[in-house]
Amino acid sequence: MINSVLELEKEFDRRITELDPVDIGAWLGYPASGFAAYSEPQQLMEALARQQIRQALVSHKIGELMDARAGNEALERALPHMPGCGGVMTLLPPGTGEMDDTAGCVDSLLDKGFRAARIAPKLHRYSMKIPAVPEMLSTLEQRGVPLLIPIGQTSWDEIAPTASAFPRLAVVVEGTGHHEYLNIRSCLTWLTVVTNLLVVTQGLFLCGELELLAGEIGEHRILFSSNQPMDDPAAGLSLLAFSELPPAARRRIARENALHLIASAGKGGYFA
Amino acid sequence: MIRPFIIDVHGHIGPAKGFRARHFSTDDIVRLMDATWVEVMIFVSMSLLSQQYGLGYSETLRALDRHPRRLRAYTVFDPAWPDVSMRLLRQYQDHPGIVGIKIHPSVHGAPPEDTRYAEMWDYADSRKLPVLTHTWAPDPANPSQNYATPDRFDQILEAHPGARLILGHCGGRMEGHRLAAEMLKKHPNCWADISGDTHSLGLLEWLAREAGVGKILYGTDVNWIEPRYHLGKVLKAGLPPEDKLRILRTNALDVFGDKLISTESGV
Repeated sequence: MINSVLELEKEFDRRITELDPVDIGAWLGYPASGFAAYSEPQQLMEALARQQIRQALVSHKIGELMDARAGNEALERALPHMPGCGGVMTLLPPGTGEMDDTAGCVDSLLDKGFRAARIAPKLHRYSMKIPAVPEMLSTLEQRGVPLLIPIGQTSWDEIAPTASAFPRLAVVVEGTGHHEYLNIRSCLTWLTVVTNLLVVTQGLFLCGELELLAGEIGEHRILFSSNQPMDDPAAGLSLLAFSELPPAARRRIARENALHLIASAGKGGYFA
Repeated sequence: MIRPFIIDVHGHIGPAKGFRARHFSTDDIVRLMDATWVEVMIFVSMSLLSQQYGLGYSETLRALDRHPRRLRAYTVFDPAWPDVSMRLLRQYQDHPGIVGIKIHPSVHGAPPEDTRYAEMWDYADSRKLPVLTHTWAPDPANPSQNYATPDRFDQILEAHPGARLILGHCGGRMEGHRLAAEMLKKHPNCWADISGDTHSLGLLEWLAREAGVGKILYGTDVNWIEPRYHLGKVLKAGLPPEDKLRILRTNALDVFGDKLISTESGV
């Protein structure tokens, strides 16, 4: 029986090698809680290598849990030590005196290797309905910079109408199973209507949700994200490795969509 | 070709009111088990958790009849209907495919020390039955989860040494994991399963260090929760293969005994 475990481990590794995944959800810094953290770039790079992940988009916990500007600065310092990785900038809405020049900030960070933006409205205490949000999203849309937002920081009823006003902006909703727990009825109906909403593999908790979404909205709107080190990357990789989707669809979700997302940032965007 | 060998101690069959279940027929479930190398899954009918006892037990027996080598089941004790659920539990508990009792203090809105559970605890104790309970961390946003924190089972475990308690979801979130580990360390008749939506990096290794690998059972919460997340977590955990096999299979055999594996399965 022990051979079954060993053979299954080998099969898992073989399938990951074939997928050659790109992770759009890796994090530096200490999470609010957990058993693991990548406090230094080298730790993240070593972990990615163990997982057979050669490329990633990296966010910083400082930007989410403490200060957006400090998080961007920390990531700016780390990126030169992380070959194959792009940065995810954390934005605040303009008009508060903190990050008023959204366009200038985005352009500057694009030049420094950032390839996506994220916002955290609930943690940073604003809603998607404040007047500054359209200005921020319009800036990203004009530059083709994708926006990442965890569903726990908003709701389907909030993010979907907001995203629909910026149809060329790729809005990547993370952790769809978290917070709006197993809320496939809201998730699926909004995703069907608002086609610039993308989802990630992290948090697709509903049994069979990956295959369901691939069938309903298309695999071109799903991207691999580990959410490590909060989540175990082996969990998300396992979902893909053992998915019932055809190999071409799995590879698209694991790798090709992310490569396109990264390559098109600042150059017209995902839907250009 | 790798034959299914894993034992999943925490599954469900049937539709649920809160979401569209993609896999809810027993044939769907068994197909998914094949795809994830699960030889035996122990399930509870969603109907039984939703007070639909007649429908639930008929679903349960039909599923066991249809897949006698692959499926095992739990009865359900529901404190909202203590007499009815206890009578049915006694009626069906000796069925060869029924191997334990499920309780869900959060969904059923009553903590496990509530006196309405007393007869069930005594029954499980005297029959040395496994009892699978939902557990979770204290959650101010969802107070019903406070009915199922692992520490609530401390005195129950002490008073019922014959019962074999499985802390479903291992406490659910970080504070719940800590409370679960305390129970696992303290009580020889307590185990935890890794089912649910928590996939924290390092959790398995931490739990093995804190409580011992012999206390960890493989569970998924299928057909609510996607089971392929759980498989990778165990396969890539920083544990020796022998420990992974214990989690994936042999610990469950220790808890549930002979009724779990059919001799016809050839295992």
